[in-house]
This record gives sequence, structure tokens and C-alpha cells, in this order.
Amino acid sequence: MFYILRKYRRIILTSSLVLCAAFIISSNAKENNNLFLFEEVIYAISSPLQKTISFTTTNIDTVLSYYIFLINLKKENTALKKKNNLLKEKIFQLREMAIANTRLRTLLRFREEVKLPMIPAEVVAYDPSSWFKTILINKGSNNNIAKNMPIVTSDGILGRVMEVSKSTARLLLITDHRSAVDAIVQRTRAKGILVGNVDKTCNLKYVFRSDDVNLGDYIISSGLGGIFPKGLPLGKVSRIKKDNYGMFQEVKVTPMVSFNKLEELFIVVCSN
Amino acid sequence: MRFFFSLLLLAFILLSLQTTIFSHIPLLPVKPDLTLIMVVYIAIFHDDTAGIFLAFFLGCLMDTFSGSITGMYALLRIGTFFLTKLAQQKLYLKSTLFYICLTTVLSFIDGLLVLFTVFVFSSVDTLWPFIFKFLFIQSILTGIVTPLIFFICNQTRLLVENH
Repeated sequence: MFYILRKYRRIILTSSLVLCAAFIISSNAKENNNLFLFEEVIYAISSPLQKTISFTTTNIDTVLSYYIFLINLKKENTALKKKNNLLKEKIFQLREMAIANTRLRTLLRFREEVKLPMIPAEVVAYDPSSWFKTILINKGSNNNIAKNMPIVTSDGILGRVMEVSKSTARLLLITDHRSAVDAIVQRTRAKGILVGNVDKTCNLKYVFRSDDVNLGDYIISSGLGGIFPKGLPLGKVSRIKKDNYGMFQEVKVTPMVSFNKLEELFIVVCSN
Repeated sequence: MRFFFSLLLLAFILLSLQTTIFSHIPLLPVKPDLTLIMVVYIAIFHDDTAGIFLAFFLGCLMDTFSGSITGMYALLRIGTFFLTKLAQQKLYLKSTLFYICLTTVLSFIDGLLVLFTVFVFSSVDTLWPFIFKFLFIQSILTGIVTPLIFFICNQTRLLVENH
């Protein structure tokens, strides 16, 4: 018996396996949803390993995808940042143009209102000393500028021409201590002389103690002296000191013109 | 001679900067006096004859750029030159700290003299607020900027000497 089994072991083995397979096929052909024990064991052993491998593969795939995605994202980000910077620059330029437009419209309206012949000019340089308040402009005697011509902006009186060369002129600002402008209080017509201080303010001097001056009153040019036209704004009263004695009261005036933001100004052409 | 003109040119450039860029710094109520620092440098490191001419011309430059009384800064710079020479004889003037202190004091004296002129010739009532509010700040600012201007002048001198 054993001799026969040994002799024909290959045929027997092959036949057994074929029969087994046929049995399995026939069992599955019946649409049996139950797993065989063998299958269950194999599943039980292989599924954790499969899950681990699958999890690892998925993560590697995800990381690779992210990496590639990030590279593209980085490129896209750089391009967008560049575009953003260009747009920001453009916005800034447009804003500057809008501001210049508004400023020039105000100047034009002022020029039409004042109805005096005027020459526009730009500030070239400021005084290097801390104690004198003068500025240099880009117009001179070649542009019919002469000494003592008044300088105005849309905000009010700036000063007068102090020195003239062929292509430039030096202006004495109203905040300089050497400047003295005949002025009146717009509301009450009280008279005084507006003189500059070493800081960027002015004093309205020789205002009688009995004169009515309040905080916030506007100070305008009186037209006396023949240099400054009448009625142009000079400043606003910022402080009043009235003692119980003396003839005059001390009135401090803040100029209407902002001297830190001077760009365009006008020289009033008048025959001296 | 070359150094004389190169320092004049340097003063011209520094004053141009002082009249433009320094005027637009909003936090600074006053500006440092750069020509004064240059005069102190010339008085410490150069001989008397050329130095005094240079101080005079630097003062004239300052008068031209500024709207001050013409000749005032020329006189003040000559005075600064001699005061520096006097300090050089009496004091130890070899370290940067001493240069800063000297320039601060000279700037204060210079400012006092200018304000005194302002007080005499104009209608300013009192100077005390300006001395305490502005003059101290200006003097300290001038002192702080001294090492930089000294360095620039030194480099200019080396540049001229090497050529």
C-alpha cells in the first residue's frame, strides 16, 4: 500500500489538489456568503499587515502629493506676491495722483478767487539754521520776481520775498522773528502787528487790552504797509494773555499755513 | 590747497543735505550744525593760517545758504575756531568723547550768541523758552553727530593726501 502511494504520489497529490479546487469552486458557485475557515484564518493573519502597508503607502502618497503641491503652491505664491507688490505700487501712485489733483484744484480755485496776478513756484530748500525761517524757491528775477513781493498758498499768507537772484529767490516766512505783518482780527477788526517767533508760531503785538479777541479768532492781513493784499488769512488765535495792567494784551497766533508740508506756492505780482 | 577746496566742497554737500533732507525729518525740532563741527575739526587738526580762512569761508557758506544776517555766521565761525584752539591748549583733546563734549559746548555758545543777536535786533520778548526748548536739543544733537562728521573729514583728508 505504502509502496503504491509512494510510487504514484505525484499523481495522487495532483488529483487531490484538483479535486479540492473543484470542491472549492463548486462551493463558491453556490454563492455561499460564508467564509471558509481557511479564508478566515488567512484574513485574520494578513489584514493587520495589509492595513499597515496600506496606511504607509497612503501616507507616502499623501506626503508626496503635498510636497509636489507645495512646490506648485510656492511658485503660485511667489507670482501672486509679485503681482500684489505691483498692484500696491500702482495704488500708491494713483492715490498720490488723486491727492495732487485735489491740491491743484484747490490752488486753482484759490487763484480764481483771489483775482491777483500770481506766479506759481516750488520750494527748493529750507534754511539750514534752526533760528531763521527762510526758504528758497525756484523762481527769480528772470520770472519777474522782485523783492518784497508777498507769497501765498491756498491756506493763507506764507511770507514775502527777501532776496532775489536770477533763477531763485529767498523768502522770509511770517514765522521768522524779522517778519512783521500788519494784521487785524477778522471778527472785531482789532489791529495789531503779527511778528514771528523762534518756534513756528507768531505773536500779534500791540493789541490793546480793551480790544475784543477770543481764542479761535482768525487773523487776516489789513493791507496797510503796501506789501500784503488785504483780507488774506494769516493765522488763528491760539493763546491770549491779558494782564491787569499795561496797554497791550499778548496774543499768540498759529499760522494757517503748514510749513512742514509746503509744495506749491504763489508769488503775488504787484508793482512796488 | 587741495584739502582746502575739498573741505569747502564737502561743506557745500553737507549744507545741501542740511537744507533738504534734514528739514523733512518730522521728529527733529532743530537741526545739527554741521559747519560748526567742521570748523572744530579744522581747528584741532590743521594749522592756524589755512584753518582760519577755511572757518571764515565755511561761515560765509552758511550765511549764503541761510537767511541770516550776512556775515554773522562768518564771524561766529572765526570765534568758534579760536575757542577751539584755546580749548586745545588747555584741555586734553585726544578722545572722541572730548570732541563730542567740546562740540556740544561750542554749539551751545554759538546758539546763545545767535539768540542774543535775535533778541537785540528783533521784537522777541524773551529767549528763555527757546534756550530750554531748542538750544539744548540742538547742542546735544550737534555733539552726537560730531564723530560722523569727523570721520567724513578724516576720510576726505586721506583721500586728498593719497592723490
